[in-house]
Amino acid sequence: MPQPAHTVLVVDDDEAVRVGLRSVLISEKYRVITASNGVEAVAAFRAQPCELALIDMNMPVQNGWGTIAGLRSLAPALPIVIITARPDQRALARETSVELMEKPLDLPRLLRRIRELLATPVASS
Amino acid sequence: MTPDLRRRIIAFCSAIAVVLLLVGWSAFTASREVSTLRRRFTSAQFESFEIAQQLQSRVLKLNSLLLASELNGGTNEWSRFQQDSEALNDWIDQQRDALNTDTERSALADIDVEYDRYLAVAQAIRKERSERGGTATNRIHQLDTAAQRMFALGARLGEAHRHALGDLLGESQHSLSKLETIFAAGLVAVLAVGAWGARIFFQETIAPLRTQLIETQALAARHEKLASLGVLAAGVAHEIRNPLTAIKLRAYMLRQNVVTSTEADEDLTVIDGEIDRLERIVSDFLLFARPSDPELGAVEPSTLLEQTRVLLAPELAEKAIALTVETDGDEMQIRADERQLKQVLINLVRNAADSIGRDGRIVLRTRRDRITLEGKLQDTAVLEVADSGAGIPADVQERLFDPFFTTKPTGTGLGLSIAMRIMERHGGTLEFQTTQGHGTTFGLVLPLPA
Repeated sequence: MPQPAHTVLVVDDDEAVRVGLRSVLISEKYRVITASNGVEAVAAFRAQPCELALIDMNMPVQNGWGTIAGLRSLAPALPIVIITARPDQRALARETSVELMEKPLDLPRLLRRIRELLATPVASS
Repeated sequence: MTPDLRRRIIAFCSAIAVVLLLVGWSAFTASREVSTLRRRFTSAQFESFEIAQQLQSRVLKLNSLLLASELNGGTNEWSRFQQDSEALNDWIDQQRDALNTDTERSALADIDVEYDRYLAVAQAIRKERSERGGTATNRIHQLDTAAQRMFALGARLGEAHRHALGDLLGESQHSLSKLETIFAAGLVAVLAVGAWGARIFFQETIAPLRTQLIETQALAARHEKLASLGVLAAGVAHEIRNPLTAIKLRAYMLRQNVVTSTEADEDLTVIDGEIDRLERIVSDFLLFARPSDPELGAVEPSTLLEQTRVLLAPELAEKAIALTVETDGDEMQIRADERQLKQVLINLVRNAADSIGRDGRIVLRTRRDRITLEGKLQDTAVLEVADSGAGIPADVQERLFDPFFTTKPTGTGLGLSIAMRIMERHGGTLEFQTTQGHGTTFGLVLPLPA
């Protein structure tokens, strides 16, 4: 791949999901940073900014919405995709215009969407 | 208030009015009968059996006064005779007012005539004595005869009076029986109307309220159960979907290193299929346990049926099943979530097709009905899916809407449970009629806007 690798932040408290997503994204030639809650995610972003974040909703310490707020305060235009196993987040995501994909993820669709979002020029801030 | 209830209340008020009239009439008749009886008894007391005796004693007294005046030649006795004869005349007149029957009155008239004759004889005796100084024996005889006749007439009057009294008692007996009957009938009528009114009141007011209460309690209990089921389902979904995601991610990674058409490739295909199946169960269960709120809009049932037909007719045609829409031109409009209703219709049509197997007919149609929904009798639109399939066996009917109950080899057993939940969320219900060997008709019942 000629262009430099994009960095994707994966925030999920479920280790199996986090590690699995990391493997898949790495296999797709992305650089991956992981965090298991919102506070870790914001710290990780400060240490190394990313160009896209996949964020779980149901997490200890700080939930997905808090995490989104924290990241957006640092990078208002950061593309974010919520990945959640809970069935009750759709309405809120629609209201806040944040993309949402329910687990178990439709992987081809998720990867396609990540490519599209990263191709948009406003991606990094 | 329904027209039916209004009609019943009017009928009840009319019945009360009739009973009041009846009671009023009884009271009036009774008081008339009682006053007649009272009058008759008063006159009966007045008209005693002594009428003959009195007449006799008065006449005998007159006789003795006349004889005394004859013997003594004194004017004192004669004037007393005149006074007493006058009094007897008045007495006879008085009796006339109190007599009731013709027989009595004719006897009294005869007495009157005879008395006049008696007085004439008495006058003649007096006159002869002053003119000739003596009385002819035949005059005395005449007087005696007149007196005897009066006695006989007096006895006749007494007899007539006894008869009249007998009749009166008979009539009174009759009147009393009539009174008894009137009061008994009145009592029965009042009791009957009271019982009828109580029954109507119970049927119209108490019974529906009780039914409504029971239905509301059941509904509340069901809502409560479903609400906690929704919370539970969301939790379970979360707990299942996370490991499912992890498995999926690993399987995705594995596939990248597997050559197609190998044993490992087949294994992965099975794993992917099972992951999808698990996910379908979870999402169906979520649909059942926590269906999304319907987004209500104006929907024309006939249009919806036609859209369903267009969508499903091709796949049914492959099984030689004809899917048709029957319309009767009744353009109804309902408020519903079109997408959810279509989901229910598709589910029902596919079930119908499964029931038919091959070669058959499924008809979609609409009709109006009045059905009790959520404890209220309402005008409803019913969207029907009628099939020519095998019908539903009795033991299956009982469990038809139970979650996870299925008769199909594949399927989550949640289709009809979800359909029922969607209909309930619309304030409607899902009903069915089935005949073994002839087919089944499902009806989506929805309240029509008032």
